[in-house]
Amino acid sequence: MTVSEAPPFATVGARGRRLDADDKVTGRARYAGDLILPGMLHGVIVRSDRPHARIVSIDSSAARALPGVVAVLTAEEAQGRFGEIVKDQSVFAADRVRHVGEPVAAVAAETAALAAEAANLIETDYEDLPAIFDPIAALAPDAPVIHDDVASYAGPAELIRWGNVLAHITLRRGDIEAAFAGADRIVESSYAAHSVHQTPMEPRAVVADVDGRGRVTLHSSTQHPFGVRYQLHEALGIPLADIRVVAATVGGGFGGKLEASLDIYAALLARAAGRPVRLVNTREEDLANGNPRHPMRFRLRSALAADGAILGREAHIVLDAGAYAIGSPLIGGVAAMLIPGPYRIPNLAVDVKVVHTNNIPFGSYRGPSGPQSVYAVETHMDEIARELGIDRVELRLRNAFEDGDEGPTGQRLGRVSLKEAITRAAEAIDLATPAVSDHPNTLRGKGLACAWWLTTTGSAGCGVQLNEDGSVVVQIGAAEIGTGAVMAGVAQIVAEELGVPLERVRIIWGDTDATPMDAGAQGSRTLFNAGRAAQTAARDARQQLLERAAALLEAAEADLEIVDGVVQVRGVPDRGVPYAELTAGQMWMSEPILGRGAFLANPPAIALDVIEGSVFTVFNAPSFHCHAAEVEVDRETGQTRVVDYVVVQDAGFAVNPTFVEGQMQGGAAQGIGYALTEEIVLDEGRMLNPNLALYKLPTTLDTPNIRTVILEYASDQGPYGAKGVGEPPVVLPPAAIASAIADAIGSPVRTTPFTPERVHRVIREGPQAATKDFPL
Amino acid sequence: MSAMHARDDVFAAGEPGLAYHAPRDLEEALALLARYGEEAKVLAGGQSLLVFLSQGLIAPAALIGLRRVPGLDGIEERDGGLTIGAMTTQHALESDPTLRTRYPALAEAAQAIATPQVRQRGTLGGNLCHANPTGDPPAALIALGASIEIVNGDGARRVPVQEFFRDYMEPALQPDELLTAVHLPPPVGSAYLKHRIRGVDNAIVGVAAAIALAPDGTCSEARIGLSGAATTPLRAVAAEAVIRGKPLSDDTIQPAAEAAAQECDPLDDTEASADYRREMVAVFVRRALARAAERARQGDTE
Amino acid sequence: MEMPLKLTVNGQPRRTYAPADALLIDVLRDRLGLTGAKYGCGMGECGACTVLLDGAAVYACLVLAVEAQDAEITTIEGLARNGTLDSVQEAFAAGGGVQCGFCTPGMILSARALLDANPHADEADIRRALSGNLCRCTGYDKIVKAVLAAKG
Ligand SMILES: Cc1cc2nc3c(=O)[nH]c(=O)nc-3n(C[C@H](O)[C@H](O)[C@H](O)COP(=O)(O)OP(=O)(O)OC[C@H]3O[C@@H](n4cnc5c(N)ncnc54)[C@H](O)[C@@H]3O)c2cc1C
Ligand code: FES
Ligand code: FES
Repeated sequence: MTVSEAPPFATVGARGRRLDADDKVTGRARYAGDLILPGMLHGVIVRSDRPHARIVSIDSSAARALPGVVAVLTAEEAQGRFGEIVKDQSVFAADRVRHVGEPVAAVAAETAALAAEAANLIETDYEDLPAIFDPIAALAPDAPVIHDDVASYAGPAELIRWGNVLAHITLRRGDIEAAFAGADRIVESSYAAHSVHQTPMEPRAVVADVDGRGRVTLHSSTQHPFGVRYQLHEALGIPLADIRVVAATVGGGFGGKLEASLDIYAALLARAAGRPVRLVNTREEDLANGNPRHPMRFRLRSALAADGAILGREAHIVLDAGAYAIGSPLIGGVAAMLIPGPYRIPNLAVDVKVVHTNNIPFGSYRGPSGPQSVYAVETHMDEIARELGIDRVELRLRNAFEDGDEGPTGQRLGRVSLKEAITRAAEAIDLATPAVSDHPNTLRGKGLACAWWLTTTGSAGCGVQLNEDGSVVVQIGAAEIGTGAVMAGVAQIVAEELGVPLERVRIIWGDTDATPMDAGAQGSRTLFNAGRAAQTAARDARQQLLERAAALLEAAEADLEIVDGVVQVRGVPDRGVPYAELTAGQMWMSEPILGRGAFLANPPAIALDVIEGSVFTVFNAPSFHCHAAEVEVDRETGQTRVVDYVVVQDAGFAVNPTFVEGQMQGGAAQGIGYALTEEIVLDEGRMLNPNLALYKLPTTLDTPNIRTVILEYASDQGPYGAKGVGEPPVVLPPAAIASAIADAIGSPVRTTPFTPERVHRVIREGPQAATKDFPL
Repeated sequence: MSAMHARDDVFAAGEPGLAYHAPRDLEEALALLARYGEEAKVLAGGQSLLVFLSQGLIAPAALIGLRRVPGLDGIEERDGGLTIGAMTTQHALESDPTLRTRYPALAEAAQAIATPQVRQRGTLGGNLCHANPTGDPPAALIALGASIEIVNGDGARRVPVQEFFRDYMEPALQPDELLTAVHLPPPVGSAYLKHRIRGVDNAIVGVAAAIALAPDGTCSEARIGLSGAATTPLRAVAAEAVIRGKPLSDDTIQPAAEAAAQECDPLDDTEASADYRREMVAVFVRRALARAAERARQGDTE
Repeated sequence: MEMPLKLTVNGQPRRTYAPADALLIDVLRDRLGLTGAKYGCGMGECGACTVLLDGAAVYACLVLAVEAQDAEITTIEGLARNGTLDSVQEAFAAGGGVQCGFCTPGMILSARALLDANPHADEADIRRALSGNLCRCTGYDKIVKAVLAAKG
């Protein structure tokens, strides 16, 4: 069942105007790179140009001697260790570099050009070490070891690690041998999925300010102010109270601005110089030194009954983590959960190995491990359907999760929108009618793909204050990175709960000193968690207003209602008092109205014994999705054009449908980029295409109109039943497009991306032309 | 040791002594070129030059801007053909009605360049002098049989366009010379087709074809220009020879396409491999010839 | 060496100094405090720096400031008149054409240039006119619809 009747709400569920829209359309919004502070210096990071080398010496004397250079820092000045999950990173490489781009020094100077000149004067003498770039090769017993002892780094007890393996995750359910022994058919296939970059249009930027006692304030383009503060504290040993992180307007993040990166160096340089320091990445620096999506390899084997029931699945997955761990151990756990797909598979044997190489460290990009895993799993599903002679939709419906089913780790699923999603997507693209080309040079095909996704937990806090004129100020620690989760979603929730028009609400967000804590804009979590905290805070403020009004109106609270910022006796508009009157005296005569909201979600319980080695074991507030695509493939060139695209997504509840659609369309466009045009090309760990001509984001000409269907299967804990919506739409397009291409050309494409050249080869030579198998 | 060049400060951006000149006429421009020699760079639309400058790939002592030099801009009919000034913008080319109907290969090539903003500033002359092997106008001009007018203090010379591309990004131009105009002979049926990854990208391959038909329907003249098919824009002479004097049909076009694939020596980079490019040369030569022939038949040229 | 510059920006004469090879984007942002034009690549590949010169959309990172002296420069800061948003600005704000906002100034100016040149632009025209402006957030759908809406 869908909750599609018009909700009994005034503001939530409506297409409200976001509070920052006017500043953004007039050029007034201030991004970190727009800020200039008095006395501000310009910083530059000096990076390794070797993938794996011992540092013999660093000579920075010429740089230090250059007039106008104020600070030059190397490993001697910063020795802390940090890391999102495993403490394996240092601020500067001291004796060894493990990837191209690893920081070895940083410079602050009066001008950016001087800083660059000084950076070029720093001489590092290296002695190259054997390097390894292929994660499969890194698993060999005699492979060069990238970290002498991975297990020695502080990290969660769950991790199973050795050699170049920083996490080995296993998911075992049922009796896999029996499942294969009893199978009517077995289908096995291998897939390789590539790395892409988040590429927000704003490159990373930060301005660090410092006071007389060394207390730093960062104005940063960050998705996670509190996370950055903690990493700074950890890396630099600065007390938390001496670090303030203020998010500037963020020009997009997509996972690329979760980690403290430039922030650490800006803070160090500002403290060393005693002056403000700005660091702004060039596009090349931003592309070459990020934490892009993991390259992944898959070997999938499914045991099948003749009627299409999936009896069991065995899977070997390898994630290339690059040189440092960052979020990779957790992301490997997400991949393990995705391998069964949103399907009931009673017997499972999934092995995920997260492996170090001398490539750049890979990390969180919107829906981490999702596009790769869903592409592999869903292409495998299509191969199963073809092998069994069962319709693609039929096969999925037969195995799809249903209400009350159990997830792979035993979590209870509640209401499941999957079958509705599949049916609606198949209808929207008219999958039942084969695609026909109207041109002799082209082939057409239709396809679809399904997936499930999660809503990340983590704490959220919010304060709601009323001004003396009855207007509202919200303090919230969440970060508005463009999605609208804060400046539309939270604003609408507060307006709704307080019964005021949206125009009466102001929001201050993402400031570690001025707003309550929040776990950051990651994992589709902001509206779910921060929205819930805001709802609670607004309700608290509302309660305080009701109490005050009840006394003033000499009425029982239960008899009061709120209409447009006026508290009145139900049905008696002339016995009412506006908020402004309730708050007018609050400077001297009454306490301020101050609502408090704090939230930490309770994830569902799991059957713990099935997964090992993982710090990620459950999909909180899961949502279910289906995308469908129609493509046109030039049979002579292999060029693929997406001619129609449909996203069917369960949002739980769409607080602002415009921005839910915005996430669906923007995410799908990124996924289309993954499928067709974007690729980080590494050669011996060095990026060959670090500019926007060669790293190809989809333009208006490459992105189809993306149609959207929002389903609303309410969650238990999200505000009004909302679920995370940000990540899922990027997860499915490679799979849906692969399905459509296979339909058009008659064979699967087992390696991403689907460039003209690759598709051309598969058309000519068959699926083997793009199959990259690997030994176990 | 690498530190990317961070450039966000105007004070620092100026090389000491870099001068900008905006000569008011051709004579003054040529005098400046003669004075500076290799030290100066001519600035047309800046859409390639300023990228090189910002990247620190060039460090000239002076920039000589051509925007104020009269007579370098515009499209003019002359001797049954057309003369196009070097400073004519790519936007002007793509929107010119004469070009669109009589020299569609050039209008299509101009329209295929990058993005509206680039075409707004970028010029035909600048594009040719940039001599990028994946540029679009060079292939079109090769097919259209264009010649290029080059001027220095001593006078003017004309060279057939394909001789202008000496080597990878190296035009046949002395430091004291200016490209002033492009001359097109009377029109024939022509087309330019571009194969690229995104709608704004440089060519994987681009093919321009121009066809004149004899009254009996055989191909009396054929010229084919290729982009992305070598380290310079290339004229596919072997392919032209296959169809010249023959009736145009699949039986002649297909061998011509194969000849073009044989005679080219394509680039190999992150966009596409040389092998793939070679195959695509065949595909797009075939398609471009077919379209040009169709236009020749329809007399689309007048 | 710095040279005097006389620019006309958003209808106002502006005087400043800059080196001969200063780019228009740097002069606008660092000298004139007009930070609406964004720096996204510096190589003509993203469109974040788009401004209008005599009504036509150009990349401010690929124009020398000295060569912009002859032209009327319009930046995003100059589009609203007397506190009223331009119809394209209003349509972007009202219709979800803005998310992170980093592409927005350039997008809006490209759209404005298109509608001034071709008030009857259809969706295909709009997609072509905006092809030099990358947006990573929206998937373009709501941007294209906003321009259609602004056309009225
Ligand atoms: C992002 C981007 C994408 C692009 N994509 C394409 C594409 O797909 N296809 C394509 O064809 N082009 C492409 N280009 C290049 C574009 O066409 C440029 O406009 C062109 O190459 C240079 O023209 P310009 O007038 O801007 O010349 P400038 O950049 O001013 O000059 C280029 C060079 O030519 C010299 N020069 C210029 N004019 C003369 C003259 N009259 N006499 C002597 N020397 C002269 C200059 O000194 C300089 O060396 C792209 C450019 C960019 C920035
Ligand atoms: S900054 Fe000018 S186009 Fe990217
Ligand atoms: S709104 Fe973020 S890049 Fe367009």
